[in-house]
Amino acid sequence: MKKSEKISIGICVFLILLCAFGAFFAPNDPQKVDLLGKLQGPSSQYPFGTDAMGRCVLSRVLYGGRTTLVIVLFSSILILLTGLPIGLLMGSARKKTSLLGESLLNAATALPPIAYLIVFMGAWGSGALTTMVAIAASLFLRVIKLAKSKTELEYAKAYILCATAAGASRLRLLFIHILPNILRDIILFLCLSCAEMIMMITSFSFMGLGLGDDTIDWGTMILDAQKVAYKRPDMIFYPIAVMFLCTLAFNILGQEKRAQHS
Amino acid sequence: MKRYRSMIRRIMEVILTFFLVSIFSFILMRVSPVDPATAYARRAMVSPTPEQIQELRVELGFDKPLVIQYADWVHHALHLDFGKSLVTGRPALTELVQSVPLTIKVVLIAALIEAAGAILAGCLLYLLPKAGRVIAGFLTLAAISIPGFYVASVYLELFATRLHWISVVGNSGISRFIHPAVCLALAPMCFYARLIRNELQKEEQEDYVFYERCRGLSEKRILFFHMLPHGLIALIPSFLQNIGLTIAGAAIIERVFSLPGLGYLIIDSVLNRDTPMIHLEVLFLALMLVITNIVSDLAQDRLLKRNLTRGENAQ
Amino acid sequence: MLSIENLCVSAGKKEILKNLSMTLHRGEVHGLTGASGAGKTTLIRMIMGFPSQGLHLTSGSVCLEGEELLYKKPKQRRELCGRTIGYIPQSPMTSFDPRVPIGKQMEETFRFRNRLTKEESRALSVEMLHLVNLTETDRILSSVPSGLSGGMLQRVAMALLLGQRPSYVLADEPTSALDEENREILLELMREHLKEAGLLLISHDVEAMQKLCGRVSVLCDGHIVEEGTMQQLLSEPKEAWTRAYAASYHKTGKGDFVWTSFA
Repeated sequence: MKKSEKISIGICVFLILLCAFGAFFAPNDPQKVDLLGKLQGPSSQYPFGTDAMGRCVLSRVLYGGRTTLVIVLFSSILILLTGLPIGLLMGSARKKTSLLGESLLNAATALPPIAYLIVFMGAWGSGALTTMVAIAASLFLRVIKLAKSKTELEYAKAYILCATAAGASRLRLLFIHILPNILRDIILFLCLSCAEMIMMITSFSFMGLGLGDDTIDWGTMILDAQKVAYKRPDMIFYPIAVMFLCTLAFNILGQEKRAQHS
Repeated sequence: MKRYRSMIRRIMEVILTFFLVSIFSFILMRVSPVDPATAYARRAMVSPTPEQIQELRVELGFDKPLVIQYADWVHHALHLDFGKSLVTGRPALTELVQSVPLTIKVVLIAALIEAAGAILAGCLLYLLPKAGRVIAGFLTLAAISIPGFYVASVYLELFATRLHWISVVGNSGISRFIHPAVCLALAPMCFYARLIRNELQKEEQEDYVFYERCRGLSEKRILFFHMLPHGLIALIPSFLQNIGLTIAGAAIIERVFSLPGLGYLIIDSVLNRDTPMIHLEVLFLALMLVITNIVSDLAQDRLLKRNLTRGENAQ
Repeated sequence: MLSIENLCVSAGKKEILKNLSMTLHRGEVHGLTGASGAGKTTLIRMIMGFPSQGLHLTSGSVCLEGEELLYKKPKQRRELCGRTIGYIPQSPMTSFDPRVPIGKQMEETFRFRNRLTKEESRALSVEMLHLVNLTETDRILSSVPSGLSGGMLQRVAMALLLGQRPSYVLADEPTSALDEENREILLELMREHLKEAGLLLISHDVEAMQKLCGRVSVLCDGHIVEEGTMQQLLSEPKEAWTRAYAASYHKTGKGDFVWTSFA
C-alpha cells in the first residue's frame, strides 16, 4: 500500500509542478498573434494548433497554468506561514477567547470563498489583484480557524498535560509538540483548497470575471474555444484537460485516507 | 445556563455575520481603485466628464462620508428598502425576490438528488470488489475535479442540441429545474459518496457488525439497517451546511442554463458593478448560510441528544 | 463433530495460527486458554467465516460433521451462522447496535433467521429472556444497550443463542467483562442450557474452566502446545506458559489475569 501511495503522490506533485513551470518549455510565444495562421490543427510547430488569433494553444495552456498555479501555490504557502502560527496562538490562549473574537471568526468563515470573490469583485471589479486578495482573505481566515480548533483539541490531550508538567513553555508546546500533529491536517486542507481555488478562478474567468485582458487563463481560453467549436471542436479539450488534471492532482493529494506520516 | 450561553453565542454570531458582510462590502467600495460612480458613469455614457461623474456621485449618494452612507443604508434596510438596481432601476428587493425562488427550487431538487445518489453510490463503492472499488473511487474523484460549467455545457449540448430532449428556450414546470439540478448535484454527490464509503468502512470494524454476522443476519440487512444509519448521522450536519454553500455556487450553472435565478443575478450585478444589488445579494447569501448553519447545528445537537437520551430514558 | 486440522492463518508475512488442530464434539465443553494475542479470537473469526482485515487463510481445514467449511460459498457459510454455530461475544456492551432497542434486535434475529412472524418472534424473545432469568421483559426489550448492565446484556446474548439452538457454540471470553455475581449466573446458565451443544469456551478464568470444561487446550504462539483437564494442567504443567499460569494461580488463587506472550 505504501509504495503505491508514494507513487501516486509523486505523480500528483509532478503534474502540479509541470503546470506551474511548464511555461518554461513553451514552444512558442503565447501572445504572438498570427491572423493568417489562425485555427490551424495540431502540427509540429503548434502541437495543439492555433486559436482564433493564431496564437499557439499549447503555449497558452502552459502559461495559463503558470498564472493559475502561481496564484494558488503562492497564496497557500504565504497563508500557511502566516495563518498557522496565528491559529496556534489563538487556540492555545489560556484565557477563554473572548466571545466576540470567536464569533467574529466564525462569522467570517461562514461565508464561502465564492462570496468573498463576489464582494471583492463587486467593489473592485474583476482582475488578477482582486482575485488574489479575495482568495487569500478567505483562505487565511479558514486556515486560522482550522489551526485554532485543531490546537484546542490537541490541548485537551494527555501528552500536553505531561509536557506542561515537565515544564515546557507555551511556545515550545506549540511548535514542537502540537504543530507536527496538526500540520498534516492543515496541509490536506490546503490541497483541497487549492483544487477549489483553481476551479473558482477558472469558472469566474469563464463567466467574464477573469484575471484581466492581458492575462492568459484557462477560463478565457475555454470561453474562446466554445465560440469556435464549429471549426475546431477539439480546442476546448486542451485547457479543460490540463485544468482537470491539475485539480485532480490536488484532490488526490488532499485525500484523508492515506498512510500516516511518521 | 449552558444552553443560554450557546444560544447567545449563536445569536451574536448571526448578527455579527450580517454586519460584517455589509460593512465589508461598504469598506471595499471605499478602498476601491475605481469608485462605483465612475464605473456607472462610464457604462451609462460614452466618455463622461468629471462634472457629470460628480453629479452622478451626489445623485447616488456616494459623496457622503462612508459612515453616513452605511448608517443610511442600515436605516433603509430595516424598512426593507434596499435601494434601486443601477442596472434596471427597479427596487433591489423586487429583483431579488423574483430570482430567489428559482434558485431555491434548483438547489432543493439538487439536494434530494445528491442525498439519494450519494447513499447509492456510497454503498456501491463500499460493496464493490477491489478492482471495481479503485475504478469507482477514481471516477468519483474525477467527477469532483471537472469544472461545473463544463459539465453543464456538455450536458446542455448533449440533451438540448443533439438529442432534443430539452428545448433551449421557454421551459416550464419542473423540467426547467431538473436539468440544472442534476448538473449541480453531480460533484457534491460524488464527494459525499466517498465520505459515506469511508464511514461504512469505519463502521465495519465495530463489534456489533461482527456479532450480527455471527447471528446470521444478511449482509444487506446489516448494511442498510445498522451500518448506514450510523454512518449517515455523522454526515448529516455537513450535508445540510453544504446546501447553503450550494446556493452560492449555483451561479455558474444558472449562467449556462440561462436560468434567471439568484446566481445569475449576482454575476450580472458584479459584471455591472451594481452596488445596491450587490449589497443586498451578499446579505441574502449570508442569511441563507446562517439559516442552513443553524439548521445543521440543531440537527447535530438533536442527533447526538437522541443517542444519549434513549439510553437514559430506559433507566 | 467440529474438527480443525492444521489451520494456518497469516497477516501478510506474519503467521498468526500455525498448524492448529483441535476437535469439538457435541455435548462436550472444551476450554481454550493461552496468552492474549495468541490467536484465540482469530480462530473464532476463521471458523465463523469473518476474518479481520488483513488476515487470510494459508492452509488447513475446518470440518463440520464431515463437511469442509472453509472453502464453501459465503452464502452457504452464512446459513450456518447462528443456526449451527453460535457465538457469545466478549464485550456485550459494544456488541449490540447502540442505536436500536434490544427488543428490536432480538426480533430481527428471530424473524429473519427463524422465519417467524413479528408476533411469534416477540413471543420467542420473551420466552428466551425468561429462560435466562430476566423477568422485566418489557423494560429490557424497549431499552437500548446502554440502558442495560453488562451482565444483563450477556444474558440477552445467551437468550439469542438459545432462541436459535445451535449445535456448536463458540464463547469468546464471555465472563471477562463481568463481575463475580454475573459471572456465576452466566456460567450456571451455560451449564444448564448448553448441555447438548459442543461448547468451545475461550477463557482465562480457571474456576470457570474447572467447573465446566472436560478438556482444556493451551494455545501458545499460534498452535496448541498442551492439552488435558484443568486439573492436569494445573498440577502437572508441561509447557512454559502453562507452568507460569499454574504458578500464578497457586499463588493468588485466581487464574484470571491478562498475560502477554511469554517470549
